[in-house]
Amino acid sequence: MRTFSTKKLQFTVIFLLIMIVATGAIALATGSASLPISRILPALAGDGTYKEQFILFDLRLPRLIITFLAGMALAMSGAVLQGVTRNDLADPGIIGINSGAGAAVAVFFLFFPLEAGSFIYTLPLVACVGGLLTAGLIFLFAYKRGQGFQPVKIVLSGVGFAAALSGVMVVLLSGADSRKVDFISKWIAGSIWGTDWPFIWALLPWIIILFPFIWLKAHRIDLLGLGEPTAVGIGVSVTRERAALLIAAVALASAAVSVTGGIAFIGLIAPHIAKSIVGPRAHSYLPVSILFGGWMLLVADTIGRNVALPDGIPAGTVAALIGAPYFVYLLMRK
Amino acid sequence: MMKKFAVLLMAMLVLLLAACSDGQDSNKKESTDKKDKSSDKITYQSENGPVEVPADPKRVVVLAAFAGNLMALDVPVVGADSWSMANPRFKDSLKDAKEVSEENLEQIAELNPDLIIGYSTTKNLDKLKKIAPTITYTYGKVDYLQQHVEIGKLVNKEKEAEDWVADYKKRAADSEKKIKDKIGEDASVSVIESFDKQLYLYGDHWGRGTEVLYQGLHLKMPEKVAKSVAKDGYYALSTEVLPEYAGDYLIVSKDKASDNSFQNTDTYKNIPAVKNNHVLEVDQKEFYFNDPLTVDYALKTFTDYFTKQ
Amino acid sequence: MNKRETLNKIESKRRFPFAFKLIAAMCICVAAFLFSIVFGAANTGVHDVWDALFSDDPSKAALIIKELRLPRETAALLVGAALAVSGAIMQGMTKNPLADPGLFGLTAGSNAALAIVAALIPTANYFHIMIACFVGAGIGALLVFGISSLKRGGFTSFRIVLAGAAVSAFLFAVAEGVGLYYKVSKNVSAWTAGGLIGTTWTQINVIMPFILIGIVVAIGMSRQLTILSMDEGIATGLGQRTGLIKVILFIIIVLLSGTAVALAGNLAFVGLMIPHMVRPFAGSDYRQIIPLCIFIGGAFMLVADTLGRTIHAPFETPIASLIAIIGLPFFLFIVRKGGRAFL
Repeated sequence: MRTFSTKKLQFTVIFLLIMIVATGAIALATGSASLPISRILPALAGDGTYKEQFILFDLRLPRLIITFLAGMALAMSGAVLQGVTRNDLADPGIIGINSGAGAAVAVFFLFFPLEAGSFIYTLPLVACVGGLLTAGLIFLFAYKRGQGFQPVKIVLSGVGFAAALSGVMVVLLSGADSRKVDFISKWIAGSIWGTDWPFIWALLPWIIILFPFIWLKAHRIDLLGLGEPTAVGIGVSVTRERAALLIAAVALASAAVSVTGGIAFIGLIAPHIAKSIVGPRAHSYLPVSILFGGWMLLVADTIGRNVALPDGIPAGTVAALIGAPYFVYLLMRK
Repeated sequence: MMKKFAVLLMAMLVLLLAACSDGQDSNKKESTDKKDKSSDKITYQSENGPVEVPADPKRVVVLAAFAGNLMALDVPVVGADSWSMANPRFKDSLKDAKEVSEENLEQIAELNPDLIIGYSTTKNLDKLKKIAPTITYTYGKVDYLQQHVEIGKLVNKEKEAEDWVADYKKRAADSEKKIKDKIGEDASVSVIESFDKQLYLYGDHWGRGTEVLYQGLHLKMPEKVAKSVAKDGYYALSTEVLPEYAGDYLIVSKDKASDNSFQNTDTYKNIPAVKNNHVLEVDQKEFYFNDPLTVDYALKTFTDYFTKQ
Repeated sequence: MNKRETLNKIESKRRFPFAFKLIAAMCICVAAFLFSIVFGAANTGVHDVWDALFSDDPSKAALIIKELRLPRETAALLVGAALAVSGAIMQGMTKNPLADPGLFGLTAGSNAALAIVAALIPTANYFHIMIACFVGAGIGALLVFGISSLKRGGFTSFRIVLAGAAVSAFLFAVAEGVGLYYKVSKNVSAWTAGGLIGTTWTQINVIMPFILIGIVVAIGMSRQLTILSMDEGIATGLGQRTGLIKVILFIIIVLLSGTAVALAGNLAFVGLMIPHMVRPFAGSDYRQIIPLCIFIGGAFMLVADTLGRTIHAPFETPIASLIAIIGLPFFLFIVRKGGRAFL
């Protein structure tokens, strides 16, 4: 039985932080407009030209932050889902939670114009409702009296929901004006659309509240992973804990995708890599997961933004291109 | 395990650097391209109140279909929307311009514009305003001639714009007489276009030559058409009912790349206008707009066509 | 037990003679066909249909039917039949009730192939596009089947559905990326999301032979398929060359799914639903299932297409989305009932 030292954890975290800063610098320096790396620090300090300030503070920095936040949220969500459903292949995108959130967003925009102004802050909430409803339905279908939740059925139902809800999104807005239709197809592809400061403030509360909440329950995640009989034996009120954690995970994923579009695989891969490095204890792999997830989405978005100008390739597409093969690799190893 | 992890991270970093060096190279060319920005300003009464704009704009980014208007007034356009860039007739004038979109603000910023023009529905207006003075127009609020005059006011060339309008009105009246002598007072004409596998019917102010036909030459629109387009200015049509909307003459705005199979059906071929060879096909890419360059071209095309009937 | 006794055992479970069921299915199909032809944007009546089909000098309304609706609905019929049969074969071959060409990567593969062709060979004609769809579907299927059979345990529902989701996500992303990079996205989505709008007789003439061949061969192999779906051991024991049979069936699946995408774009769930709708009446004998699938599949697509044409008239509601919405309850129902079949 291998023991994973805290030294490894520290080392990994520091390494990741360095990578994140490096990638962040690259992300801030790349784009259609020129902003050499050497000018980043001066511009951040307020000592740049008008154009440099504009590019930095209005365009790239908010995008960087929201991408990173969303990546963290997705990774955390995936980690919790995997722990609670005892299924290593759970990911909010594959399971259909993203699509449920997206359908709710589609309904939202059915009634509101695309430039929603201050309604932006209610967007993650709306998405949450969609995500939770979907999650509820999925679990309803996976529950069998006397057998409890079957992890396999959860995933299978989820895949079906993902396909159907995407269809719902398209049907809902296909009668609306073409810009909304455009918006929906961009959303499904996972192009990060909410790249402005208000979106950051809209997403941040969810992270600030839910991350510590989950962290405090990290120990329970480990226990739930031991299987229901064991967990019950230890005294964990299984259903309640499970439900609370699930709701948190769904809420995080929904809030994240409400501003970034449907992005899958981050929630799948980040926890896996984290676990393989620092081991199966939640207190260890959660921090690594979220750092890795944030970094990964940042990489995906930066690559996607700069290839195929002028509009670039959506981050969700890049994530799928990188993530799907890895997912397949995981499948084969199981 | 650590090695694998490090390798994976390194690989991603390399990918990143590769992508970003792509971006950086093309940036170098842009930043050496700094022209002198005029420092004189005038105040323009826009839809949203008075805005200070350069008196002699030299680098204009157009996020709407107004590139032609600016070119007609000899104003340099450095960034244009995809429709204008795709117009074969604008190719020469726009050869130094870049295709821009309302979504990619960095590209627009990099072009160092001194004036940005868009629609009232263009995205990211608040950010665009930070790059350069930004003026928007609500499409269809004023007619195509007045629109040109407004743009003329914007770029400080009001007189040139009004001159063109006066001259155009004369030529149009001239043509109207010639045409109506040939085809009669009551001949009606419909304008259709196939786009994205859907047929559309157009009213009198939605490009495709409709302004010239209905407003300039005062040709008749079939009543059924007029009723259907009253609400939105255009109307999506099913191929099945096309014959009911065709006038004596039919203008088909065509794009070779899209699906024009409806023209092979007997239903289409039996339409009286088609049977009598009263169909004029025009290139959708050229006729999409209603700026002076396009309007003049449309006027000439239609005059030539109808007077030969 | 010899071949005859095995099959008799299966047949005896069903009381109704097969002929009745087949005729019933055909009637449903014909009714659906008439329904979809009569309804549309233009005003037409049943006599116009007669006119269109048989008269030499048709009226205007009849012309509309002949040139616009008839090809479209014929295409719907063909696509529905092709997808239903394809799904039935997949379900039999993999012994997996969740099998469907859309969920298992074939549709995504065709999509990616379409994008690549649109990007690199802009002058490709309809025939080329169809070939591309075949190739794409084949690659998608190979990937999914390959992945799920690489580990011992073979085609468990779980693994194959997930492999399908992953491969689909990947191939769709490839299609999207290629489309954006080469700026052909609009053309690609016109194909894939377009459904059956604007189907012409030319397209049908190219595609129909393939679909018909596929269906005929499927019917011919239905006996072998039935035995295969029961137990491979029995099959080999009975002297069947299972390897060869599987290859042939695989080719048919790719043929049928590829042509369906070439004609109607991306559709999922049809291949899943129809066999399940048919099974309560046909049991597990594929000699009955497949023919019934042809007609019920066709009828289903006809109704769906008519709905797509009329709900948001004059705009077209994408048929793929409609079907996805209808298909979900089915999918869930099957998952719920699954029991041990899934582990």
